[in-house]
Amino acid sequence: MTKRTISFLSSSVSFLEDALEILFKDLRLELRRGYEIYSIMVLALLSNLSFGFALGIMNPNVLEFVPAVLWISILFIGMLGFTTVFVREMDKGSIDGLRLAPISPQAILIGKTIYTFMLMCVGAVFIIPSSMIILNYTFHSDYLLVILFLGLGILNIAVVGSMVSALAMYSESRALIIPALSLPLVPGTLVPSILATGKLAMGATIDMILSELQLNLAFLLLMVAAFWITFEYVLYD
Amino acid sequence: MKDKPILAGLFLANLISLYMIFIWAPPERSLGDSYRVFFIHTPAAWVSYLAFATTFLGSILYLKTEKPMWDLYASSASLLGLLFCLVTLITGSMWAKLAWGIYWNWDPRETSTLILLLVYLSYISFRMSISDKDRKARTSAVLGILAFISIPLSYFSAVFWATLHPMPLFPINRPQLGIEPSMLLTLAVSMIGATLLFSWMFYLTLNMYRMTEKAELSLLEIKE
Repeated sequence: MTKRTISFLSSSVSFLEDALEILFKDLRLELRRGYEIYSIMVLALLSNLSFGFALGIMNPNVLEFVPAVLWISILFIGMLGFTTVFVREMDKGSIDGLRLAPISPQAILIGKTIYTFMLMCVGAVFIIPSSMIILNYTFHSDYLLVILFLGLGILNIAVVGSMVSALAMYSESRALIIPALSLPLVPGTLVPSILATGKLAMGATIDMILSELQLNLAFLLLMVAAFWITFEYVLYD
Repeated sequence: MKDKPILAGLFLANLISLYMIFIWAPPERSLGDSYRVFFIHTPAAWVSYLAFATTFLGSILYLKTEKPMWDLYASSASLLGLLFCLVTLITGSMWAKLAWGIYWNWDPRETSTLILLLVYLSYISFRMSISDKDRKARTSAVLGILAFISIPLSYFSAVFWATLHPMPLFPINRPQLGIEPSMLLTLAVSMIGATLLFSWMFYLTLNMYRMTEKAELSLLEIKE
């Protein structure tokens, strides 16, 4: 191995370590408080119940609505999480600590994004099984494919959410600005995710959701690249 | 005084454009005179994209140079872009009603234009919610870049959605616009007229912001 390769590998490892450090810090804080995870669980059940009432019990066309119901619920739960990502750091004054820490801004963003992703996954773990019971449907595709696809869609929303949270920390109306900024930025991933989830519920294979997968991957790459370049302008005053 | 020749040119171009739209261009075979809204709709759409592209460029240049001028360009262009985007949506719905019988038919262009409007409405509301000038300029520049990048993604999703969804409301035989050379010329002139109108409005908006800033500074000096 050349010197350049070794230096690249060591800087990548230290970047990952920094990102994980940010992630563990947030997770420790979240587990200590606990009430946010509990609220996410309650909201997941309530959203399923509300959609059940809205769609009608034992609706024969439930499969037409379920994918949209699932993703709207996941998005709203994500919005609960977005407020905790950067806005909390600003409110508590710990954002200055993050700015002064010898960590690259990109590592902070990655750590925060993984944290948002994990928080949204907790919500999805409650939403999906409970909606399968309450709304009476099942996924007929390979479960690994379902999990991978749902994971990709959630990751895309988490990426947008983390950046929106970073922007919203400077706003004077944070609670309003987070949904106002997130909702118009996510249709690029929300629409293919809803479509593919509908297909997966009806037993689609990977070939049948290839276009949705490509759209979601393109969204992920473009957004990550844009955030990677611009994030330091958001973090530092 | 130096604005007078520019204003005269702008007035003349738009007068010619209005004459061509409402008198010179022949009626369309299947849609009759109602198709004339197309000569307002298409230039408005072009100008809104031009304005949002200006916001995007202004945002990049602000982050690169940190000169307040670029932030001023980005915010002024986004305001005008919103105005022209709204005109695009209203005239598009009118045209859809006349041509296809419904105001809203979830056409991918229609849907992505609505998303475009919402994205830049959020951009404006975000700017309004930050009082610190430097922070507002820097974070809005980042949002201006993200907003522009998200547009093609939303458009492709809308195209994808529209091709997969059955739309029972859609009329089966949608009349298509048969474009004649005189119509193309009218469209070209109305595009030039709209672009000039945008340039003039952009210049006015920039001046308005600069004067507001001067007035605020003078007020601060008086208070001190």
